[in-house]
Amino acid sequence: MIHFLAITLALCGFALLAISMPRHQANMAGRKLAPVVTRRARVGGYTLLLLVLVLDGFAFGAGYGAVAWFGHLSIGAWSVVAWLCIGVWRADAASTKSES
Amino acid sequence: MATKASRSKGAGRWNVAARTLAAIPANYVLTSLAIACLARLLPMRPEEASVAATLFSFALFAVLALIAFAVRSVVRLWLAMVGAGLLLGGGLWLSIVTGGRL
Amino acid sequence: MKEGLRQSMAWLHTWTGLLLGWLLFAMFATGTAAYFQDEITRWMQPEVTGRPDPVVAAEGAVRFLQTTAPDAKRWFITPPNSRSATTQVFWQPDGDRPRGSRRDTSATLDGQGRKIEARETRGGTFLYRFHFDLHYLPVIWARYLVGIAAMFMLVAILSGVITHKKIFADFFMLRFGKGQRSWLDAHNVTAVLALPFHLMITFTGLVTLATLYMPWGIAANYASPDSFFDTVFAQSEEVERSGKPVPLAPVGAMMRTASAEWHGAGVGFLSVSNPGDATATVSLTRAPEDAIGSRGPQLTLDGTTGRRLDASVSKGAALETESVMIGLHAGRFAEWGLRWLYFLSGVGGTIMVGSGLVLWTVKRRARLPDPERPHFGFRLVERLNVAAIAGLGAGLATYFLANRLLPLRMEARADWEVHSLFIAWAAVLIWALVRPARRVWIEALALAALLFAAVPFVNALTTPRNLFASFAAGDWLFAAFDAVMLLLAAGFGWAARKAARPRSVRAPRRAPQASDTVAAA
Repeated sequence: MIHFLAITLALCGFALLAISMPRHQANMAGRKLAPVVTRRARVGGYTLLLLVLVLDGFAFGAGYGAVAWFGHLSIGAWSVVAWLCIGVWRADAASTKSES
Repeated sequence: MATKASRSKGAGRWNVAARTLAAIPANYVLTSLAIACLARLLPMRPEEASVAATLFSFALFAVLALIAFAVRSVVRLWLAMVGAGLLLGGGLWLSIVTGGRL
Repeated sequence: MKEGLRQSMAWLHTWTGLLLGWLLFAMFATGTAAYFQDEITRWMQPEVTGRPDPVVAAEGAVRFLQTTAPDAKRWFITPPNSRSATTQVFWQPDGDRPRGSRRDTSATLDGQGRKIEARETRGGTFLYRFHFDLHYLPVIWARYLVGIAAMFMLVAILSGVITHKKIFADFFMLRFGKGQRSWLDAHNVTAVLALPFHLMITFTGLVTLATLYMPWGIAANYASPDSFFDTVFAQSEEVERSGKPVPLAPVGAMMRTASAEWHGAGVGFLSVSNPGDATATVSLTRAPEDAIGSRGPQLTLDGTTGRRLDASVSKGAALETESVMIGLHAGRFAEWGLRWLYFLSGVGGTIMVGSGLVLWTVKRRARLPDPERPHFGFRLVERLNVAAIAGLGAGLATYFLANRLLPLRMEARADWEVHSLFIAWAAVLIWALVRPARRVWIEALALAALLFAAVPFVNALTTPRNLFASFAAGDWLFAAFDAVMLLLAAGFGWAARKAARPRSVRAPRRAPQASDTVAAA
C-alpha cells in the first residue's frame, strides 16, 4: 500500500516537473504555459518528490527508505516517459493520417 | 570533430597522449599517495581510516581524471601533479619513518 | 572557456565510453542477469523442486558431511533461503591430503541432506562470476580489467553529465524512428532516468574489489595486509584437533539461538571447524536477505555444547559504509519488487551502454569522407558492436538452450554449457567480420531473437515444466523465466526489424543546437 502511495506521488511529482519544462508543455498541455504556472509546477513537483522521501523514510527507516525512494522515483519517472511517448506516438499517427 | 576541437586548442596527438598519461598512470600514483596520507591523517582507528580513505580514492581518481582533460595547459597540469605528488610523497615518507606502521 | 570545457568533456565521454564499452556491455548484461542468479540456477536444474526449511536442511547437511568428510578441517554450509532450493556444502580436507578439484570437496544437497541427482550446471552462478571474473582468463587479470572498465564507466558518466547538462531538460522525451535522434534519446533517457542507479552501481562495483584496486590506504597503516584483515574480519584462528572425539551438538538449536540474537533474521552461512572433535566451533553468519549490509553479524558457538563463545564486534562507520555499499551493489537484501527494479535498472544500463556504442557509429557515418568505404576504425567499431550486443544475446540464449539440450550424463557437462555460450558468441563475431555491415545487424539481431524465442519451446519439449504448466501450477519462477525469454526475443526482434527498415526516413535536419554540436564532438 505504501509502495502504491509512494509511486503515485512520485508519478505526480514527475508529471509536474515534466509540465514545468517548456519542451514538454506543447505535448502535455498543447501550448506554452505562463511562467508563473511553470514555476509553481516545478516547485510542486520537487515538493512531491521530497514528500516521497519523507514517506519512505518513515515507513522503512533511513537506509532502506533511501533505496525504496530511488526505486519509487524510478517507477514514477519511467511511467511519465511511457505516458509522454504514447502521447507523442498518437499525435504522430494522427498527423500522418491527416496528411494522407 | 574531436581532433578539430583539440587542434583548435593548439595541440594534437601529443596533447592527448600527455593528458592520458596524466589521467591514468600519474593519476593512479597521485591518488595512491593522497589516500595513503589520508589514511594516516584521519582521526579514526587505523583500520577505519584505511577503509575510509580507500572508499574515497575512487571519487578522487575520477575527478582527477576529469581535471586532466578539462584544464587548458598540459604543462601546468603536469607541474601541478608532480608538485602535489612530491609533497604528498614526502609527507607520507616522513609520517611512516617517524610514526611506523602496524 | 565554458564551451572548451564542454568540448573536452564530450571528447572524454566519447572515448572512455567507447574504449571498454564492449566489456562494459557484457558486464552490465551479465550483472543484470545475476540479480536473478538463484532463480536462473533453479531454472537450469528443473529436477529440483520444493521449498526446504533452512534449519532442517542444515541439519541434513551436517548428517551428509558426517558420513562424507568426518575428519575435515572445516565444513562450510549455505542452507537454502527464500530464493534457492538447495544446500551448498564444501569442505576443507585435513591439511596433509592434497587438495583435489573443487568437485571432490563440494556437493549440492536437498532439504534432507541427500546429494541431489540433477543435471550438472553452473547455472546463474556462472553469469554472476562472469560479471567480474570473466572467463578463460586468470581471475586476477580479469578483475583488474573489470576494475579499469568500471573506472572508465565512472569517468564516462561524470563527463557525460557535465557535457549534456541539457538532457535534464529533455529527459522525458523519447522519439522513436527518427534516426540519430532516437538513438540519442534512447541513450539519454536510459542514462538520465537511472542516473542515481548508474552512479551507485559503478561506484559500489569498484568498492567491492576496493582493496585489490587501491591497496595503498591499507599499506599506509599496515606493514602487512594480513594484519589489517585479521583486525577487520576477526577470523577465529585455527585450533589443532585435540584428538578427543566429541559429537557435534545439534546445529538446528544453534541456528535458533543465532536467529533470536538477530531479532528473527535467518542464518545464511555456517562454518564448522574441527567437526566431531572436542575443539569444534561453529560460526554462524546472518542471512544476506535480512539487511542491506553485505557483511552480516557473526556468532561463534562452541561446537560440542552450543555455548556462545564470541560475537562479531559492531563495525565502525567506514567499514559499515563499505559493507552497505557492497550490499547495495549485490542487492541480496532486495525482495521481489526491489529485485525487479534492480533488474530493470540494469536493463536500462545495458541499453545505455549499447545505445552509446551504436551512437558512436551513427554520428560518424554521415560525416565519413566516403560512406561506402569507411576507414578501418569505423568498420572495426561497427563490427564489434554487432558482436558485443547481438552476439552476447545469442550467446546467453545458447547457454540456456545448451542446458536443456546437452546429454544429461555428458562428461564435463557444466563446462560445455559455458563453452557453448562462447562458441555462439565467437560465431556471431566471425559472422560480423565477414558479412556486409548493413546486413549483419539484421541477421545477428534476428538470430538472437530466434534463439531467445526457442528457449521456452525447448524447455517445453525437454521438461514437463512448460509455460502453461507453470502458470497452472502457480510456478511463477518458471513462468517468469519463460516470459522474460519471450520478451528478450521480442526486443531483439524489434531491433532487427528496425535495422532492416531502409534508411529513407532520415531525421529532418534540425537547426543545430548547442547540445547537438557538443554531443557530436
